[in-house]
Amino acid sequence: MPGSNEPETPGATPRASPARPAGPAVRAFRWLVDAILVTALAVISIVLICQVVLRYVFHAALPWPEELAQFLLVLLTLLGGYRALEMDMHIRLQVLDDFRWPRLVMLLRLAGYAASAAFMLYVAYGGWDLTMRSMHTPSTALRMPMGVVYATLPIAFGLMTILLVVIMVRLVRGRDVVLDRPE
Amino acid sequence: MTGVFLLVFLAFLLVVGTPIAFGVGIVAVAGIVLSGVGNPAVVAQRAFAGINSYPLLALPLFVLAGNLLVSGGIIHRLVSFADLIVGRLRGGLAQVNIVSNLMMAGISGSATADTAALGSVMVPMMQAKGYSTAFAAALTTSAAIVAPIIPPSLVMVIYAIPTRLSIGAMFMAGILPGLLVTVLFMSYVAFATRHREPDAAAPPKEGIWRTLLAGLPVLGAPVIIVGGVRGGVFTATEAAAVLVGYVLLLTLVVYRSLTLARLATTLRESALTTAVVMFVVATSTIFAWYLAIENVPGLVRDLFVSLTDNTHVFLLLVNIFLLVVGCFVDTVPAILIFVPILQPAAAGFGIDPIHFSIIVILNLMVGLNTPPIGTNLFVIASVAKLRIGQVSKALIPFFMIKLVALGIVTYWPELSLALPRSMGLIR
Repeated sequence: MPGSNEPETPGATPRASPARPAGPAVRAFRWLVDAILVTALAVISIVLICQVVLRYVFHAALPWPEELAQFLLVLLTLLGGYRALEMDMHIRLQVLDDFRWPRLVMLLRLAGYAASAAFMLYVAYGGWDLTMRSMHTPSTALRMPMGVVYATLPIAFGLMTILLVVIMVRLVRGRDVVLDRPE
Repeated sequence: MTGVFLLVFLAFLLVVGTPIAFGVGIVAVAGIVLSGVGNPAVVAQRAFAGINSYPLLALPLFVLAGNLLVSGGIIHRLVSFADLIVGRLRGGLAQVNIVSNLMMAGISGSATADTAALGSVMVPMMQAKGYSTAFAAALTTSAAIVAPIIPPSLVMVIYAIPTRLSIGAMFMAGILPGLLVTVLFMSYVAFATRHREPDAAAPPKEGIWRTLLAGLPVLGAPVIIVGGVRGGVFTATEAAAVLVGYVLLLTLVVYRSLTLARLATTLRESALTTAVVMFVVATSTIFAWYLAIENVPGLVRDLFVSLTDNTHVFLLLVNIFLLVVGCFVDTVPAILIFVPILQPAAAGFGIDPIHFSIIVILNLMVGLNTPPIGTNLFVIASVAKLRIGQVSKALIPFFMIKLVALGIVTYWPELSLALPRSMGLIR
């Protein structure tokens, strides 16, 4: 696992110290996001199964289940992307993780995280802009303001920007950068 | 100049371990800012539009159905079922491995999930019967490549996004090539194990008929998908929803093998798996949009046309290119980045897009098992507790077989096109 393999040459950087157990507020927030993810996937499954039954058995399909499921998929993707970053689940190359010069590796990884943070901030800002501009644009089927749907973008990308800053600070201090280890 | 800079920048980001999803997004935004073709709101809107998609809804549903079957303990039923069919042959357990992978492919759409699930069951079983661990590992991960070729297929759902191809047509097109891969593997295993004593498969504990009866409902899953998508009765998303309903019925009511607590865990895991894949889709959409603005697909098409005017040579070049790509890039980003570039070129050579999709997917599945970056190679190495090098060595003969399969699929279009054509899904 990334971050867990401590560098073989001691002394160059402080050895990665294990993550402290997260505080109650952080844990509560993680639990909340996970609950949203589970609910979103459950609702997607239920409404789409019901829609198939309504369409092919009763020939009376509803107009909104597809749109609701799509919006929930966006929510699931973006918030899940945030949780995946916390748990280091995003697909990435791990060739550098066991590399010799820990200080150089630290600087290189820092550059990667900094670029990621800049990207997240850019999209978060764009998402905010989009949200504010479409508060009066209703969606096709549910007639809810598109701004509410778009708001997932600044929230999730904003959260990821903050997370990346936390990760960068931990990296510089030689701490474990995987904030939430699965299991 | 900008192009070279962006390419080097992307390579740098990936090597230092930036998630691939972030890397392609960073480079796309860098390109957009440098050439002044977009603004933050447009970029955010593109990312949103990339994932706000009805066809992509099939993805979480197929992921969930596969995971539910695994957490509902279906693997053992599948393996017993396969044992009943091919277990008595020489190299019986190796054949059981291949057939279990084929049946699993009919339910699950992900080679990685199948490698993990079947690897944890089949590798210890094969070890106990005296097969080398490396052979068992290499066989499991190789046989798993049929998962995204036999319907349902997560990769095909993704492939349909940039190309707007019919997922149903791709599903049907994959069936015969998937069976071809299976037959080739079975022939090789029969050859490689010809001097072994039969594994003397123990008769199933519950008796033959009970094993058959217990296994049959699982085989209903592919029937739902193939039957539903055939002739366009269902969309792939609807078929996926029905599949989830069917699997829930099976695991909660028929087999009673899934508890509600396990259900919640499975939902969470499936949501996270979906999010990881969909996040790549979101940022790759920005990237593909930027490539289109810069007319990169057109340039690549012109490049290929200037290299050769022979379709066979073009296909050979594409195969080599994709095999190299597959060694370094994971399947989903590879499809979202390179298919919009290659597809117009292939169309220029008169290659059927459905046939081309099967070629591309088979290529990238070979890449899943090749170092330095092979997701499934990593998965099976960790499941079998081997080093990457040990598995890679055992994979060499399987790699050769995959190349043979690739050659047949590439130069025999009818193998892919006959089924969807006979069902009227393509002309």
